Amino acid sequence: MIALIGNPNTGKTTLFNRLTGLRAKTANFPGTTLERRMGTLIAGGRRVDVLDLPGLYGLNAGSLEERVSRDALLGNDGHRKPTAAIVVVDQTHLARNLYLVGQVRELGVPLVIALNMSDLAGAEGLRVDTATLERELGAPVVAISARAGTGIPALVEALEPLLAGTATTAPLPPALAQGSCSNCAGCAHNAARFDWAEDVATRASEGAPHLSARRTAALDRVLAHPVAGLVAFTVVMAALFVILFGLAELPMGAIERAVAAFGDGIGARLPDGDLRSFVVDGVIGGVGGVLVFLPQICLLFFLLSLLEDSGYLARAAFVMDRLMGKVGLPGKAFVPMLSAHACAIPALMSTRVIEDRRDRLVTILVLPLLTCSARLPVYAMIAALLFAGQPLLGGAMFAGAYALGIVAALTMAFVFKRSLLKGESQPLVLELPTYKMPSLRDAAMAAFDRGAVFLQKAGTVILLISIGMWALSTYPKLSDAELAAAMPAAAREEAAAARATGSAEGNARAATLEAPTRLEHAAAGRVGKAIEPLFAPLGFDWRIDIGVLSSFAARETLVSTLAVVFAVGEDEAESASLREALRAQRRPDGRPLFDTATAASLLVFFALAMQCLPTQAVTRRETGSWAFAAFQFVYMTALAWSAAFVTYQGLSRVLG
Amino acid sequence: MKVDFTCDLATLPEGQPARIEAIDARDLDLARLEVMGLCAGRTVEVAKTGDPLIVRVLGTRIGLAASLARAIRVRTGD
Repeated sequence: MIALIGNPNTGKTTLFNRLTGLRAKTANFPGTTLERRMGTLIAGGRRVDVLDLPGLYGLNAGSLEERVSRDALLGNDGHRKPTAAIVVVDQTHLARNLYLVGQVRELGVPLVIALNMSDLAGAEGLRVDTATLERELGAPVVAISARAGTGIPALVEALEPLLAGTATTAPLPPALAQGSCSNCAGCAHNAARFDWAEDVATRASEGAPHLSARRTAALDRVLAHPVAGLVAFTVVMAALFVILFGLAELPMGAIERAVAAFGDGIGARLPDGDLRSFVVDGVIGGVGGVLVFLPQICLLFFLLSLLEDSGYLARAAFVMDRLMGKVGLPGKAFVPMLSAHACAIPALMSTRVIEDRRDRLVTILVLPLLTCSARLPVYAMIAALLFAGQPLLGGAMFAGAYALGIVAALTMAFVFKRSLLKGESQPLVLELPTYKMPSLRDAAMAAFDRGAVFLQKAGTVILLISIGMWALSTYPKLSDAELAAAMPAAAREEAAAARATGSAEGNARAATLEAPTRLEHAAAGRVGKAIEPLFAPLGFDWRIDIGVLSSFAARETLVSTLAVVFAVGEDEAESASLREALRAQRRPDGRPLFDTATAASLLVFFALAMQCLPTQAVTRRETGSWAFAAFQFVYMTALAWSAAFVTYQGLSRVLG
Repeated sequence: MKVDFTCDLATLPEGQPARIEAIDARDLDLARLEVMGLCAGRTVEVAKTGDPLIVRVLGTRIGLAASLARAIRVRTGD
């Protein structure tokens, strides 16, 4: 096995992709939530595993990444010891990169230096002498350009003697040999390493990357400016958002239609009954529920990869640091919070950029409060109920719902940073890399990789949940006699008349009329009734409660469940007929069910409640503990209940 | 005539190279600074003042909270 190590922003990921292609597997380092990527390459006719270590500046064991990487290189703690290491070095920032090379040398792992960014250096007239470097470092040095794909075969060739064990190990450079230490913050040996790195870099290179340095400084005068930088940030993030919603819409619609058509096709070949219902509504519906997230997830990571690669993402964190600092979070927490407006799942996956564990946990806890796109169908339904024909008021309601999510998330972050996960926020120390053209190839790889992780980890959970929800709303089943006895007289007669026509439409109408009674007596309906007292103070009756329960698989399910509960055909769920059906519902005392207070209370509840089991599964995966997922559920539900309670009770009093 | 002086990194004028003499921060921050090359003995320069500010060390630009920059004592001249 070969370990790949290097500073952040050195093109290490690009090189990993070049060496291993699409054969990489993503898992976690044992006992951590730190991601571990493995691939294979062919060297000297043999397949060799390649381990991609996290990008880091040193091995001082100050951070989790540094500790794990050190253990992985040494084969400590159950890690497989690598035969050799490739250290990726950005030759336009030689001195900084050589510090890490020095530390890897001290560990005694045989290594090859991949001297990256040859194309950039050449364009800038920077010359690095590989022979001098080889002599000073005591290791083979191969000039490459991971982006252009040059020098890769020579790099693999240089690995062969190391893998075969025929390479001779050069003695450690005297400057590094004074004595190794693992955690030497402030000790003199560390200063000696930096002196050595600067000295070697000076002797091995001629010229400097003036052009890109000047360009970077000029761009930073705008993009890192306290005012202009914030304006630029707003523009970039707005563009990200527009692209994300605009472009993902098409494939999402296509996936939904394809899954529906596939379900209809399979359904037509199966006999009417439990099996058909299970396959079409449980399994195929569940798979559709997984796949529909994919376009947004892939697109988000594609765009984030481009932004990161270009160097801009570091500036976004830089300009947001002071603002985010007011609630105790680092600037880096802003990108996940923005992504959460599309879907909390990719946002949770992108919190890995936050170094401090407490900051990361707080961000994870509050992310699902932000208005994800699954809430939009629910909001649209409520807007239609409250403000039909008043687009301005409807728009204001949407804006208010978004604002509620943002205010709630920032407030809870502030509260958590001062209570549960108390700790001073980490003051900013962040490399602002040189701006460069981002690589489309790497962005596509990142999108593919994240999509695959999502399908593997979240997909199976989402599928299981939707099968579970299908079972709860189907079983126990009523016999025909029980069904007839339980149905309201008017619906029973209409259904019998519809069925008597013998036409397909008649049968469908009868099924629609029977659906509310079936659901009422299935587990979901029984639970809905059982929990009615719990939600009655919010203005919900047991029928809304069934909708609330079903939305735990995915929030937008509320709309289709209410369509079933109120005997509107599912196909009509988004049309005006659902609105009319909802408006027509009465409480036992004759008051309308969906009055303003109830609709507003439902809106507030959906804005704040943790009603997404897939998100919970990802929270567990990202925090490594069910306790955090459980806490997230409890605090959000309590918050949502309390806010909806205040809304309902307040509005019913004011509106009388 | 040029006068050498000691100050903290947050008050060092833009473009003026200086050498880090000492850092007074929590161990955790010390480790984060050190691995970026912000430790005693290195030469730094402020590329852009403000909070956060941008400093240059070992040929790279580092965004740095002013609270940390104030903890870094530097001396100009050699």
